[in-house]
Amino acid sequence: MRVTNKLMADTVANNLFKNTEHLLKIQNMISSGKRISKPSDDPIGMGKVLDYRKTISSIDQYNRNIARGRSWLDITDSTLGSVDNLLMRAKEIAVSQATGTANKQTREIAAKEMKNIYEQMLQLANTKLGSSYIFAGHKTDTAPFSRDDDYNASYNGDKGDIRIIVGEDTSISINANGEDIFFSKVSVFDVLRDLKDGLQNNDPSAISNQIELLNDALGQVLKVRAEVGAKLNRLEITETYWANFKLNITEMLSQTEDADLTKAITDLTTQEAVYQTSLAISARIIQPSLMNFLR
Amino acid sequence: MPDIYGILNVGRGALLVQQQAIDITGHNIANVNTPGYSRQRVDMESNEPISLWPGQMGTGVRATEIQRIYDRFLALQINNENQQLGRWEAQKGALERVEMIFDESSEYGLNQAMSEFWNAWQDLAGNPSGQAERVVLLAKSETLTTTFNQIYSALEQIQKDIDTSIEGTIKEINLIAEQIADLNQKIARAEAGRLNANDYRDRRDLLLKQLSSMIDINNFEDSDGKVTILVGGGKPLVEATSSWKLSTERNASGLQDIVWINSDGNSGNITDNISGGKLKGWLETRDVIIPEYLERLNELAGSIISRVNALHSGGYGLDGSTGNDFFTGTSASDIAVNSEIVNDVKKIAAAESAGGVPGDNSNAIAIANLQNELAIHNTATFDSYYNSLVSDVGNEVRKAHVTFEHQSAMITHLDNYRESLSGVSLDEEMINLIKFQHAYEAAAKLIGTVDELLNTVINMV
Repeated sequence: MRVTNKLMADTVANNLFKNTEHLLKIQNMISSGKRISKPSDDPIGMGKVLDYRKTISSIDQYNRNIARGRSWLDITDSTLGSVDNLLMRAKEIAVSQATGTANKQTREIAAKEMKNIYEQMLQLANTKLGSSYIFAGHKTDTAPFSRDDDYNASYNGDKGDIRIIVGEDTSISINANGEDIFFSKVSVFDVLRDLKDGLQNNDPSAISNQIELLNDALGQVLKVRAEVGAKLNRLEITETYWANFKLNITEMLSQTEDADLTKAITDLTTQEAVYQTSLAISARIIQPSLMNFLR
Repeated sequence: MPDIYGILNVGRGALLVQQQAIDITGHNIANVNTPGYSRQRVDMESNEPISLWPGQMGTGVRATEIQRIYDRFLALQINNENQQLGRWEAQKGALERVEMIFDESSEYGLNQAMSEFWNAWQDLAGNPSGQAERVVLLAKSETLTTTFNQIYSALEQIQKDIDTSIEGTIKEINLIAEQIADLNQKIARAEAGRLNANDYRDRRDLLLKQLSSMIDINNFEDSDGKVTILVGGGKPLVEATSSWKLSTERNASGLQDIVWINSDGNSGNITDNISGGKLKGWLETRDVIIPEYLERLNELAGSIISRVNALHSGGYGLDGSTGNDFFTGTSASDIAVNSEIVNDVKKIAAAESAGGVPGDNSNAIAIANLQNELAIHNTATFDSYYNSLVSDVGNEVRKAHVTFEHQSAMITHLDNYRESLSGVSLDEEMINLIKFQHAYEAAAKLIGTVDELLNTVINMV
């Protein structure tokens, strides 16, 4: 085949361009740390990368939601703990003042304490988290419990469920309903009021009647508290699950998207050697011509 | 008659022919780097012999023609493949720009914007009465709508830029057509006198090659040496010594159509008939590929708008208002957050019932869960629909790349073959130079010898 000067020069140039193009690609990969810098580098891989990113973003959001749910449930739990303490105290009073060792004076003093217990219970029932009343169902901007002058309490909230999203199409309700706690089988406030009245009126039978009811009230609160505990448990399990899942997805994302630095650097070294060799050879090929040898 | 003057003639003929050969060699050397140049050589033939005793006597050498070493078939092949090369080069270039718009590697693309939008609804669900969550949701929503708007208009901008490239190329085509018509005339005139118009032909071939990279051409030569060129599926661009023009006309979509102007000045639309060259690559990208992407973006935006609005207008805001759309617009180009919501974030409807305000977050949850629904054609979520669009863009670019590389390799191979055939080799020309120079010296020596012979004859008497 007839090989002309232009042919040799063009071929040399083409090969050098191929080498430098490859070199540039490897350099980019190393300096950005990414194997995929644009969709055409690996279209299927890019699709996966976007998927993983979306999953990671969702998991982070679920964790934020879980944290919100946790704080709500935590405060519910500690409030219910205080309610429980108050009811135990009320029961102590009822038991001791129903016996023969009590008398009108002791009962009067106890009645005053009952009044305080009532007010404290009211306060606990109207606990707030931030600007939201936690026992009011959906009506979180109004105090759910109020009393009139005769110590008749009423519930102003509703039965609304407040939920958080903890997974794809999975949500957990995080609020304990005020009615369930204070007004379901037994009306806690009515019991406290009747106990106070009984003490004030020096009426032992009225007092002892309340003991059974107070037991019911304690059971009622305990039931709700158990539910809260179960929900907290579930949140913790979910959180752990997501933590592991995220670890896996992050690993897969890195495998798909990140450049294998060791391999890339080895490639770079090889390519550099190839480039230099081809430069040297090109110089040897395109320089000599017949004119060097004609006298 | 074998006489001394005959020998002189032979010598003279030899000198002239070798001199001509050296001239051509010089021409080749001078044009070693000229693109499109085909090496030339003098065809030498021995002169008509004279019948004489004791045998036929040769009468020296003559130059019959100056030949251009050139393969016509190869040139046709190169021009054919060049049309595809031009098309894929243009398509690759335009698609690479499209790909940059879908650059998700920086983590600030539509994928991220959508994720943050849905997340903001979940944050609102976590505190439906909160002001801060509403303000953030508004901000993320506006980022989403702006990103849609930007992607859409960037794609439209590429279409407009392609128009500019098309207009520039049309001008070039017209210029080349005129030049070819002009060369047709020069070649026909020169060859009418039976002289090869080698350099003009080289120039015309180069112009044809350039033309073939821009538009699909069909060309053939008539017996006078004039080339006829047909473009765009059969419209004449050059015929004999006349050339026609191409031009552009704005069509209904606001983009340029390509038209051919006939001798009466009427224009015919040839946009759909163009099948090769850069024009085809640009038109394919502008009229087929980009519109598909625009439509898919619109589908995505439209779906988000209608699903979110459906839930939102049924819900209740903090101020008790209901029936408010969250988004206005119907497509990716005009999607925007409802200005009423922009002005008052309390209208964002997190609650499902009027009585549920402010603690009810079920509407916010329902809207947040739209992210997981197979909302598009009941087969894809918003995210997966977009992700597959990005994948498809990547695939399209890749395809253009691979096809371009393949064509490139083929053209390189053909070009190399052409170069091997028609290219100038300086080594070869050097050898020829020596060859012809020696012949010239010998011929001169012959003349010198004849001169001495003449002297001898004259001084004989």
